[in-house]
Amino acid sequence: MTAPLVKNPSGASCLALLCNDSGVVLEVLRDDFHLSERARPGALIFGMGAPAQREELAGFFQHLVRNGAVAGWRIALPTDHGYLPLLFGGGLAGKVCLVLATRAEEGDGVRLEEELMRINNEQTNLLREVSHKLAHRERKKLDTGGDDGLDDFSRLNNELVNLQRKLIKQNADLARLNEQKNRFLGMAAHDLRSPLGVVHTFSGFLQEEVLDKLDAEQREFLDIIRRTSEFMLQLVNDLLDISAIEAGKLILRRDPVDLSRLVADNVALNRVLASRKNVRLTLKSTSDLPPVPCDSVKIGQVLNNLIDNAVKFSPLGGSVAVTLDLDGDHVRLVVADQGAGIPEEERARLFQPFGRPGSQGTSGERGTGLGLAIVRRIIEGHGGRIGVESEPGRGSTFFFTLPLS
Amino acid sequence: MARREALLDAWLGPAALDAGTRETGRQLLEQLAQALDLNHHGLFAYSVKWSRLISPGKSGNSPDWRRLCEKLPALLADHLPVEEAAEARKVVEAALAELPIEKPVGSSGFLREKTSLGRMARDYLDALLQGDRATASNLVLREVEKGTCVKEIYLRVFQPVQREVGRLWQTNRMTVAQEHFCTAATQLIMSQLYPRIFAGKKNGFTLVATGVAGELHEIGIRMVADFFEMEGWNTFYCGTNTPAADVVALVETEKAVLLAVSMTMAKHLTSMREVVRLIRDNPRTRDVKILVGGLPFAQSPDLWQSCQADGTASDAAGAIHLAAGWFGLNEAGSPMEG
Repeated sequence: MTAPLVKNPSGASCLALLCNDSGVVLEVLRDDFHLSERARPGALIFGMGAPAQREELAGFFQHLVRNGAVAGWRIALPTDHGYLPLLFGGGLAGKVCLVLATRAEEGDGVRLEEELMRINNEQTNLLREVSHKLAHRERKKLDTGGDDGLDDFSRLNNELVNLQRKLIKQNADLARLNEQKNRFLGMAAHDLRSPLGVVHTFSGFLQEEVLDKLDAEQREFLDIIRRTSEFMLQLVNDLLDISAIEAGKLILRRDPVDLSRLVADNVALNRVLASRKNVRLTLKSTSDLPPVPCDSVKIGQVLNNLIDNAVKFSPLGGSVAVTLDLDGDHVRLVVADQGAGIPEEERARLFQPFGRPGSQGTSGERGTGLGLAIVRRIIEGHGGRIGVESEPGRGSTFFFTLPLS
Repeated sequence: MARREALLDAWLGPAALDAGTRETGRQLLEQLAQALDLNHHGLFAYSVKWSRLISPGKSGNSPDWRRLCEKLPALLADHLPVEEAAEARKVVEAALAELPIEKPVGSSGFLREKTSLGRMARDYLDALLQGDRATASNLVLREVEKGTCVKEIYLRVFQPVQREVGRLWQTNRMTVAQEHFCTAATQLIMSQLYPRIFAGKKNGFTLVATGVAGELHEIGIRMVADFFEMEGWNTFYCGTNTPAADVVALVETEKAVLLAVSMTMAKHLTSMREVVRLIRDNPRTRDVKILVGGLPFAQSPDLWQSCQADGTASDAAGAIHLAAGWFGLNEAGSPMEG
């Protein structure tokens, strides 16, 4: 049995209860008269009396709530041994009432008040603590405004959900805009390509057929027209590629491809360009490479881009080494140059569209800024991996892998 | 306040000692005061109807609130100033005239378990009541993966579950903490479906939705906004803390044709009227349709007219239906031909 919460310094028997202001018993602090059947938490205090005493108990309680303190109410309660005359008193703290009763023959009004004072002094802190806890518990249930802490959490949650709604909506809007941009880019580039092709082809005809009839300045103009239109054609082709890829239209036709041969052909083609800069282009290829399932046109585009870039950024008289080898269940191609290298901060954005603005080859060659972005998407579309290792002043090594199955 | 408590004692007699009954009585007196302020007896009649339905008495002996209300007119004279008492009498008597004598059959809840989604809603709520957010979330996501459209999940799961949560709280069968948890968890699970909601095709119409005066319960109005989004509208939801002038500015810049405003407590009617006034006073927004909703409008069916709004709806489907009529849209949210 737990120790009674209320100490009774005088040693007299007493009943001590905590009730709310509606008369519901919240806690039985002391019950020397063994009324626990009637005075239990959750029961109404009026229920302690027989019907005849309930009105008296109600009167006492109403008086207590109205006046804040009351003493000297004589009410007899039924017990197992017949009616027990008790003297009732009590006090109100906030919304919690302390109700005390002692035997009528053991005291009188004065004695009860003394008792009440003593107990009050000793138990004030306990009562405050209990009242605080109970008021908190009651408020949770009864206060229609809800608990402050919970309300704050709910407000915060509302704001987070609203913010999330806004972000997801903006994300969807951006995705929609990006799709529109790609569609527009595709259409614009397609319409530009035909007239640019005409300019490029016809300037080529002029160079071949009437070059000897032109003076030096006119020849230079024609050369500029030819080179500029060639660059613009490349730019338009890259734009078409990247917009198609970003719109999810990268279509790969995978067939078993003799990659050694594809690489060798590409190296041979680029040797013409390399020889103009006196760059030595070497190829080291493994002989026992099985056919690699890939899109030969797209992988040709990747090879051309990587080798062309390496030559472009190589110093005059330098060398570019292309290596093709097996790497477990992948094939690995490496293109190493002796160029200026790429600073770390630029490497991170290298495979993004326009990720390296303003870069020029060692002979003033220009890039469209889209080549490596396209290359990465093609390799990743094949389930492969692409990367670069580079140090400023010590050249760059680009590599990609392709799965063999 | 003390006057109201004394009136409660006199009105309810011994029944005032039951904490639940006393609280319901207190709320009814609050509704009576609001009905007086707004001059809408319908607010009070609705509250009495609701109190009769939810049976608040923990002992099981719930009082018949209609019978108790019959006692009110005589008591009001003793506890209120003469003029106020006379007005309050009118409100109570008008409400009594509307209420049937027979006590209505208690509400059996909002979850219908005959369909598979109804059963899922029950499982979903059971999981939330046990504090198991992950299971609740998985139930919804699995259903969506199976191909059930998000709109169905909103209509057959989120909406009835939220109503059931409200009913369980009102009838003391759920703590306020559980109620907050269920709402917060449902909001989070809803947000997991947002990427699907916003990816749909648009119909070119724009809606701005807002709740007034920092109200805590905003899941309803956000659901309305989500529904419009699913119908192809471009929607902007401002929450409940955006000042009225900013809401109007958003309506103007986004060229919204419809503003939806929610109010869950009648005491915020002044804020509601302020939003409407600012919309009507601005020449660039004065023709925007205004749709209002929330409990007070359900309680008092003609309240929306006194707010100068264009209409009211009790749920998202009703709001969509009303807007479809105003803007000539078909059920799929696209403009009708011809």
